[in-house]
Amino acid sequence: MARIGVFICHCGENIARTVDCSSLAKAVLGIPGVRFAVDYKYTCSDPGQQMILAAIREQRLDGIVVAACSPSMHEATFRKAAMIAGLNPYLCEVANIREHCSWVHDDKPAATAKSLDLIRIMVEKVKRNQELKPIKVPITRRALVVGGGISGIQSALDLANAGIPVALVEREPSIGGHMAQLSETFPTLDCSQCIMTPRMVEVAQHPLITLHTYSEIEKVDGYIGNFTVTVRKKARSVDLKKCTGCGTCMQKCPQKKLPSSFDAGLGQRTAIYVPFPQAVPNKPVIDRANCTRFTTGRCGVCQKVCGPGAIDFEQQDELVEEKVGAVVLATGFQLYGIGEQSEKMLKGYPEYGHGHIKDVIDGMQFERLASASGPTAGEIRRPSDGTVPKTVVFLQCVGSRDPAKGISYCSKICCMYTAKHTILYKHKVHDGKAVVFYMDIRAAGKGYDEFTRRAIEDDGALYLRGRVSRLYQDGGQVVVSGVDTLSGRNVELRADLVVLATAVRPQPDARTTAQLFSVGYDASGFLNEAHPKLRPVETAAAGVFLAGACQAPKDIPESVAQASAAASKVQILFSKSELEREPTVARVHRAAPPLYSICQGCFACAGACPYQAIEHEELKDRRGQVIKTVARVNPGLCQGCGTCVATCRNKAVDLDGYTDDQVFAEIAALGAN
Amino acid sequence: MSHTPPAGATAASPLHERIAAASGENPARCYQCGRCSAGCPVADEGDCQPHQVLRLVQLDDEAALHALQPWLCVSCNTCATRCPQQVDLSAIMDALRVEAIERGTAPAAAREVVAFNQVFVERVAARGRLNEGELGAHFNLRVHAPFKNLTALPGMLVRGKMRPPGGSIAGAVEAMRTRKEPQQP
Repeated sequence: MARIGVFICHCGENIARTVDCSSLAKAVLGIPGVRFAVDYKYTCSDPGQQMILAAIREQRLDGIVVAACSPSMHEATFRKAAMIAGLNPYLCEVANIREHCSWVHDDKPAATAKSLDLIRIMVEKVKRNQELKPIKVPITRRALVVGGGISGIQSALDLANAGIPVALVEREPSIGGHMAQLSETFPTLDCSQCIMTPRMVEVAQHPLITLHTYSEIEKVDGYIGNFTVTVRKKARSVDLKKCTGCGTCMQKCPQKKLPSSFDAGLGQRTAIYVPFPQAVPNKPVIDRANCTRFTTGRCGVCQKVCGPGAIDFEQQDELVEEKVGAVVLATGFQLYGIGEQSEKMLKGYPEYGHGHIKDVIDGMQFERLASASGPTAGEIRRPSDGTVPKTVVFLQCVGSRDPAKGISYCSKICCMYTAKHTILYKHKVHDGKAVVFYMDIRAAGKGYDEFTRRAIEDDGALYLRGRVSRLYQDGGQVVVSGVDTLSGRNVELRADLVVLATAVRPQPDARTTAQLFSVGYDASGFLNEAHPKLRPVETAAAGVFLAGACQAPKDIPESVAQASAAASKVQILFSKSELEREPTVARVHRAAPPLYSICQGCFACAGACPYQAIEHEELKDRRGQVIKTVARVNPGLCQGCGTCVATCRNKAVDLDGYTDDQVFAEIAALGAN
Repeated sequence: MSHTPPAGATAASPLHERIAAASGENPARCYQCGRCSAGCPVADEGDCQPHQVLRLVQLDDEAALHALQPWLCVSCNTCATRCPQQVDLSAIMDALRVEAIERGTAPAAAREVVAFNQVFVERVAARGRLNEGELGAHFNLRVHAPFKNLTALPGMLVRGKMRPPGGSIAGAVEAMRTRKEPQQP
């Protein structure tokens, strides 16, 4: 016979206001199997827990029900108390009489009666509860970082410096990401490359970091602590071991006029190329789509001139398996390409002529113009005719905060980089005029507002509060028709160059990445954190963490901070030798021969399982002959959702902690009343 | 549009509710970026700019009903096309004109525009179609300038830009008024 104790919490006034707790405690004693019942003002408090401890010991209880708030609030608290008293924690259940009762009702007798029903249900469940033990999962102490921008580099270095081996995967031929493209960085104007390239070199030289450039994630298997990630190393056509990075191949390549994506289309590169001189690894790759050898079969000059014989036209993509315990996603962002929109939700800006007016460029193109390593060696020159522009107009919020064009969020970094652009421009073109059209200046950050004031006060940028309706070419100039709402006057300017501060957007394949790693994403395609405030680097997928602009628009300091946070979360995970997981997982029926299992091996459960937790298992007799192949649940992957239980035609699957027996007993308890 | 404007605004409701009800637009959506004014061909012609008219509506300031700007609006819809918040400002301008006429608050500077609007509607109501010559004549009488633009008449007649008044479409306007909207399935 069961000996169950029931503890009814007043939750201050939260429950006691609408539920008569003391008469409830008396009524509960009438439920078969209940040996002890008491009500208390704050059961979760230390004296409340002591009361539970004492009752379990003195009354020799073999199960308890705490009637209180939602189990998501304090189930862990009460189960811990039960464990201290020597009771298996899974013999403690919570009846939710606050959210499910007192908060939503005002009729006291009815609410009290409902509370009694809720407790009756839980008592019937506890009677059938089994002792469960946490599942222990081994951990592979090795991490995967996806994305080799500043966030990925920071995470990888932090982890490697903590002694954890790291595999860093970057899809471009070099690590460095967007930060390597920037000229100088706000609010201190330190040179981006000068602070970035040493980090890149450190990654390349670190003994614990395995670098996969020009590689993409092909497949992800496994679960927290035990991921198997397949990485596709795209054919580089250059043998990295033989190549010395001398650069002769690039000098001799006849295909010289391809747009350089590193220079945001403003510069040119060869078909065999290194994206930029400080690239890591500083070894070339052949752009097969544009190489004459691959398009027509002729040429092959690079192979002839290569001393070490590193050019390999026959090279194939290679699949590498990385076994890791945790993943940091640092896949970054792209800019709103307002000239060529592919996504339906984005409407683009035909009225701004981007893509057909040559002197209308975006922020990243301006960065390349201002960069010492850029196509103009740091001189601000117009793309159309190479002259130095005397009037430059900057438009903020192009794409951002424009629901009509498909984006409602603020891109966060544009106010600051536009202020930086005006300063860089004025430093390079002293007699030039910089005009900014803005809606609001959002410069929240250390030294940020001072920086925008510096652009206005010291460097003489003219800030006009208003927006621009249209840009059009007139002669050699671009006419900007806008408004200054502060003076209430329309403004028509003739600009030599127009720079659009285009919105920060998720990578085009962010949704695919999210699906590969079972991470959520928002309506825009940014990856979702587990909790917007308290779990900002974790994701819904255990063991997968986020860093940088793949989660939301972020500047460099924020990206670096989040990258270090993600790295430290991985270290916390790796600080134990084994992982403990909730034992409420599904289990497929097993029995002694000759039955073995009532599972027939239809694997309908495998199709229904959202976590790929169903495995095939061959049942063998004592001579080792296969009797049948049946389903088995991998407890490391199972999240206890119960979908397989509902799917199974044979009732061969059951969920520990929520067995059919328990659930039907709960329903029957309600019906019996 | 996500917002449903209050359906039954009365004469005593605050201005933004009256305008919302009349125009079907929610003035609160406007975040005052100014793209409407930036593209408006008559933004600088009036007493205030289009975004400022909308601001007055947001502030429930009845001065919006006295403003000249709504009378200059040519309903080109550039503002609505460019608006990031998808507010149809020309519909709001329409609602302001209707209410200004009802309350008699249209500014003196808009006298001719108001007269033109009224004559236009009266002519269409009377004949079911519009005749430019007739419209011009009635307009000139209404603004007490019978000979205004009269010298342009012969040239326009010669070029076929203006025809002698024709017949009316009997009962056409009444028929339009009483026509039942087809039932939405």
